[in-house]
Amino acid sequence: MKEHDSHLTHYIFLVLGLIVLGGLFVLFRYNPTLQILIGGVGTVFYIIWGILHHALEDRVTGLVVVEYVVFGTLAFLLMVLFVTV
Amino acid sequence: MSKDLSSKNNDKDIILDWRRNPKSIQKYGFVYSFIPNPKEKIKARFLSNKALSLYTLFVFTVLILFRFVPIYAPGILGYASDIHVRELLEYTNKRREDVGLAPLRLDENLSSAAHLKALDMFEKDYWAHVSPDGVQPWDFIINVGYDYSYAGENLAKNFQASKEVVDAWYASESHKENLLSPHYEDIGFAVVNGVLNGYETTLVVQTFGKSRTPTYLGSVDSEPLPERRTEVPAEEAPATTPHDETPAADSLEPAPAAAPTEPSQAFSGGMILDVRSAATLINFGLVTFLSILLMFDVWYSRRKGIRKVSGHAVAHLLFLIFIFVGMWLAFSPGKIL
Repeated sequence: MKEHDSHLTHYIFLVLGLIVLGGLFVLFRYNPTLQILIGGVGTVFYIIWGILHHALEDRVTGLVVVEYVVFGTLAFLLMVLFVTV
Repeated sequence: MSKDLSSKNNDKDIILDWRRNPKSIQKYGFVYSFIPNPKEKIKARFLSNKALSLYTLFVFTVLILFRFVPIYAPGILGYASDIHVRELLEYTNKRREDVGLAPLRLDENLSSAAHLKALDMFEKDYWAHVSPDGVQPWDFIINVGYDYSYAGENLAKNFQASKEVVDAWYASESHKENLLSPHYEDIGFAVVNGVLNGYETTLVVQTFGKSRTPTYLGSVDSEPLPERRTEVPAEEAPATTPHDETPAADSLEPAPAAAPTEPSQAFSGGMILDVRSAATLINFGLVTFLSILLMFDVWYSRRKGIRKVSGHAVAHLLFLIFIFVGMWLAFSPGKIL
């Protein structure tokens, strides 16, 4: 139960962070440079969240870290591709 | 009892057959490309770190190609468009009428000035209100013989449709000021295809003006001529143009409405790939594909009780939704200045 609660807290933190960054992303819709910056901050936030979340659950491994880094980078590049064309 | 025994023997036969002939079941292994493998407790192959790295490399390569192809092979990449002067005028005047302003007349001199401005941008390869050698938007207007008391300019590029252009201007406070300015009476448009910064594109130039000729010359004795006012929406708006030359006004009649120029072509020159369509296809295709796989992962792992030591599919899904919704809401179909 305690583990479930902490899991939920982590996810609420992630969703709130993404909502705030998403709002900023839309707010600066006519400024691609700022959008890329916000996307970069969002990616770093996501990677750190993933690593910390797994570390707090004592399940962090090298492969997990690589997965979050690669997934975050992929999402960031997709965003850059969309914003810059 | 005998039936159970026969069933067990049957199962044993099947297992023995698989052991003797492993290739007979290997062909079903492809399903683990899409769903988690319960035996190995790993994600679907298409969600493995190796697969994710390959997608990342692919998107990175596309980005590099979009950056360097225009430099070494100008005009190959570009933006398809279907923009028409008549529609631009219609949407602009609709916006004005919505707030109770008089519609603007299409003026052929202002359209000529807009056309010259577009050609100048293509020729000198720049995207700005003021050219690299310092030519102001007002210089084009004066050169075609339009004697203005007020003038303004909006620019757009890489748009697909006329409505998108006017909507984007309307959404930007500084461009909206030009669209809804009560000072203007005339308007000119140019929709010109060409190669800018290596990309085949369509430039839209919108030039606003209020001619001093018909309105003020009649009362020139009793009222001084107003100083010229010029407006461009960007931060780099030049200072008010000094009133040092006045082209001769040879008519007191209002400028006749000019016939709309030819609409832009959807594709022109040697353009091979529309970058906007390609980027949209890659983005939405990859995001949809990964989202479906992640949803499969969550559903199948819960159903089979698979506990994997890997990143959380739900977290990945949330992050993808953030990227997807952000891109969707912030999508800008072109650039304005």
